[in-house]
Parts: sequence; structure tokens; C-alpha cells
Amino acid sequence: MKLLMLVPVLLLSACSSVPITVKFPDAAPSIQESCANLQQIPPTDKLSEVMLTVTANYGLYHECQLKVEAWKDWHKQQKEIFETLK
Amino acid sequence: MWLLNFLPVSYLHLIVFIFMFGGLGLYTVGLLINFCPLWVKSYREPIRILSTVLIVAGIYGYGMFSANQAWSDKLNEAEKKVALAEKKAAETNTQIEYVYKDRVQVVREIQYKTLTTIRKDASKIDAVCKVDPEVISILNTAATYTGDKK
Repeated sequence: MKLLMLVPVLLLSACSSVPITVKFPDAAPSIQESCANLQQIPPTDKLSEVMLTVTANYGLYHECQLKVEAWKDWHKQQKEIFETLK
Repeated sequence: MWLLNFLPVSYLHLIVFIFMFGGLGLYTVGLLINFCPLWVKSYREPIRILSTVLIVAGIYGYGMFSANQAWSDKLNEAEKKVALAEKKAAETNTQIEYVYKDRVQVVREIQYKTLTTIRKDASKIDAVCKVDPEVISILNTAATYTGDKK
């Protein structure tokens, strides 16, 4: 009787899950970089120098905005691809 | 049942067919045995039982192989889908990276033009306005990253 208890063990021990794993997709390397910190204005009384830093910061903001847009796009497209697997 | 996996599939197929057709043959023998002498007839019942067992085992094995094949087909199909999805994901990344770099290039070109204009007109801009140090302090505070601070 005790030996009979081994039968289900033998029958079930090789049951395995479906051997397919879906790799989590990598994102494009350039959009994985963090957004840069805004630049500080050097001590000055010249408006032009202030404007240079402010303009540079606008550029950094726009680049960061593009990065966020790229991530949103990435998510949308990867989700669509993932839906095809169902 | 998984122990059968150690045997080659072709052998198992052969065994299943031997069971099925052997069982059928034996069953026919069991039917024809009525025309045989009496001492042979005494084997009729064991032959029928054995043939029934063989037929049932053969059909069971055949069904098992069919189910296995169906799962194997589904698995192959799923693997193809995954491979295709991974390929598409990689292509998507390439496209997103290309578009992102292209847009960043546009932003930098516009920024370069603006900075050039400011540098060119610096003397004109600075002539009409002097910036108070307090302004610098306020702007630098506003530009300081405070994301980690609570």
C-alpha cells in the first residue's frame, strides 16, 4: 500500500509548465538615459549670459520631453506586440 | 507515463500499432476459433480478453500520441509567435531610437541657432538691462533638482 503512494509521485513528478518564456523587451538604449539636471546660471550681471543658460535649459527640457514621448511610444507599441501573443 | 519519453517516438508508434492490429488479429482469431477442435476452443476466452486489452491499450496509446502531437503543434505555434514578437520588439526599438535621435537633432539645431543669436546680440541685450544678483539666485533655486528631497 505504501508503495502504491509512490505511483502518483512518479506520474506527476515530470509534469512541467509550458517551456516557453517571453523575454521582457529591452528599450532603446538612448531613451534609457536619465534626463540631465538643469544648468545653473554663473554669477553675472549680464542678461545675455542669463539667457544663454535659460536657453540651454529649455533645450534640456525639450530633450527630456522627447524622451518621455519615446517611452510612451515604446510602451504603446510593445503593448500592441504583446497583445498579439494572446 | 513520462517514463515513456525515454523511448524513441518511432518505437512507441510501432508498439501502439502492434497493440492495435495485434489485438484486432487476435480478436479475429477468437472469432474463428469456434471452427477449431474442442481443445483449442478452451483458449477462446483468454484470447478474447487479451485481444480486448490489446485493442484498448492500442487505442489509448494512439489517443495519447494524438494529444501529444496537438500540444506539440500548439507549442511550436507559440514559439513562432514569441520569436516574431521579439523580432518586432527589436524593430520597434530601432525605429523609436531613430525617431528620438532625429528629433533631438532638430531640438539641438534650434538651440544652437538661438544661442548663436544671443551671443551675436549680447552687447545690444546687455546695454539695456543689468541683472540683479537676486534674479540669478531665484532662477538657480528654480532650476535646482529637488526630486530626492521631501
